[in-house]
Amino acid sequence: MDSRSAILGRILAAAQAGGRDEGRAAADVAARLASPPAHPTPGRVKGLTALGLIELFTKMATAVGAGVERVADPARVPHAVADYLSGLGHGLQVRIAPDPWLRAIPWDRRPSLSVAFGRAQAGDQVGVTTALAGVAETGTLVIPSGSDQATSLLFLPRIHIVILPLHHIVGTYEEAWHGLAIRQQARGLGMPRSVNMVTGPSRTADIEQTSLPHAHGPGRVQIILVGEPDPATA
Amino acid sequence: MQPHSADFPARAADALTDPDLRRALTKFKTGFPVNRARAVANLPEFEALRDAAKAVKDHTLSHLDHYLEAFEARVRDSGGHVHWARDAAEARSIILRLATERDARLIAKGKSMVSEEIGLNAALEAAGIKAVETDLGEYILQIRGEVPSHIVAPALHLSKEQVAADFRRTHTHLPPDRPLDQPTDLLAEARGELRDVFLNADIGITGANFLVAETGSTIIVTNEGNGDLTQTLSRCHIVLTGIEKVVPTLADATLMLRLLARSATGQEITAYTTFSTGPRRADDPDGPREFHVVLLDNGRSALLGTEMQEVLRCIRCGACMNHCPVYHAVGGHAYGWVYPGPIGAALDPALIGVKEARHLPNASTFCGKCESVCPVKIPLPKIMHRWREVEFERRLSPPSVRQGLWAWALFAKRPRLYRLVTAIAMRVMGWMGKEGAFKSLPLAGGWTGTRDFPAPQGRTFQSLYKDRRHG
Repeated sequence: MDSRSAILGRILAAAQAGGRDEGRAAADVAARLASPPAHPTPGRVKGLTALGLIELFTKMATAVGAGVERVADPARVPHAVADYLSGLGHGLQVRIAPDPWLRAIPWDRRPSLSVAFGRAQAGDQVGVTTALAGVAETGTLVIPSGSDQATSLLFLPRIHIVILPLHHIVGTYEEAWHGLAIRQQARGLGMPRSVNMVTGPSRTADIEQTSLPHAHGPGRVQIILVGEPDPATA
Repeated sequence: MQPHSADFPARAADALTDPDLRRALTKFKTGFPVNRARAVANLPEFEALRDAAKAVKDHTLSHLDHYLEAFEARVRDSGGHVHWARDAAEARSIILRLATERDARLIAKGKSMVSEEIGLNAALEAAGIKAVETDLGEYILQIRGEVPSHIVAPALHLSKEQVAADFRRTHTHLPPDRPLDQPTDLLAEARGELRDVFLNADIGITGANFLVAETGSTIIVTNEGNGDLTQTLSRCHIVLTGIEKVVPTLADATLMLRLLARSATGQEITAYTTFSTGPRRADDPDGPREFHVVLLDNGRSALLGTEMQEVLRCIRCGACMNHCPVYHAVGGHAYGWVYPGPIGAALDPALIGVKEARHLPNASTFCGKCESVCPVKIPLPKIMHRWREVEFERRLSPPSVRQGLWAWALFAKRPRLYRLVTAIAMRVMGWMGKEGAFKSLPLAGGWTGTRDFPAPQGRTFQSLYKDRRHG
């Protein structure tokens, strides 16, 4: 017997010995997959306005060592990126995800910035991406892969800058999953190859249980929020 | 990995006199538990989440065949491959075959306890393939030739001076007089060394914290980003994991994620949580070209339908060992195999045999702290208790223990005789111990070796209790 049949056979035998109703098991599983039960979600986001969610997102992301700043419109993004890097005494070469919205940002407004698009290269120091969602419950960025997003940009460079439209901030992970489902459906695609949840810069506590930033992933995560809160929901 | 659990008593005794380990464990005792308590206090829904997670796991385990088949189908739909391994040897041979077919010379590895379980590195090395651990703790252990002492913080038993000495010994291409006094120096050096591994690896191997049947996704949870570089940059991503890791849906995985980091390190969520589904799509700019999942049984399915089934709910957070007085005293290496602490005591007898692991369920004070912090409410003391019974039934315990239990049972089953004998014994001991305490006692040398035994005051508990009830 091949290993697959052997393992599945053993599991089935144990289930049957335990009195599982084989007439219903397959249907139960299909039903649960089709409409999973809702689990408890953090009360900390309940009842928050859009402004409240932005505040919570900022607080949680800052607490894990990310930087958060706000600009009023996309035209300010090149300045925010350049000023942030200059403030660190860092070079102004950035690698940007091939995302249409990021491409549409007028990067040439700040001529000293040197921009290139695509996946991260070995020597790249700064990766710039957007995110599908910024989740307020823990200050987490949800970033799916796709033709417009290179996963390597999240991990290879020393600095990760995230340009996040304000209306992408949501309360819970569940809302981010909902947003992902809508986006993939609109594109006629299923689950993307990779969905990355990023919460602050990389870290390790493997030496003497002391938490240190900048392990293998970026040592800095800077989130630039773009836009004005919607007055109707704020 | 070759088990050494049968040597637990000797290994535990060594651990108790190891000054470096004492220092590390003193720090460890408070670190994670304090952080966990704070994280739990910050999430009032935590108890409700634990109940929900237990229910999800119980449902999944009772339909494990269906969910594994659904997972497999979705992995295939997304262009990946699933391999089934009955035992460690089969898992090793599957991965060796994948590696040799691809002419792999260098393999980057993310942290995987299942890989320790099957002894993968030694098998790859024997085949002439270099496998490099990329988690900082695992990397340090690999160059020391050691195994992890904790499932989340594998190198917690080491000091920074020990790590610095290892780096000087191993990284001989670097200037010998470079400063390595600070943990940040060590981290920067390891980061530099491992960068080349990420960029040049032919294959990346990671474990999985969860598998999602709904989508065919594998999930890794890390802080360093090493697992992501491992799986993103190489041509071929191999996921090695146990069959019990599957959950039905993304919603269920999300529930588990809310519990995992809080229970493990006290973080709200780790820096990185990554859902991987199949290989690079046609228009993706990066990602691996191949995606393989190796599902390992290795004794797990044999637990289904038994009293020990609940141990399969484990999400490997390590909270049980973080809060265990025995682990705090002896550390992880004393347990002699991959999974130490209470979860090891409950799981290892199933995976390496009761004979080899029989000491582990006995290395417990039954204080119950492990069960009280377990995010999926595994009744660890009950399962350890059951393993003790199995040990007795199979006559694996030494004659002195069996005879002692026989003698105790002789009296315990005869209340009158018990009362009579204990009343006499207490009087004799009370008379002999007039000074208030015994400095040594026959048959209790282990106890009196480090402290005095308070002398009984002449009467038994039962007789005092009787007086009090009637008085």
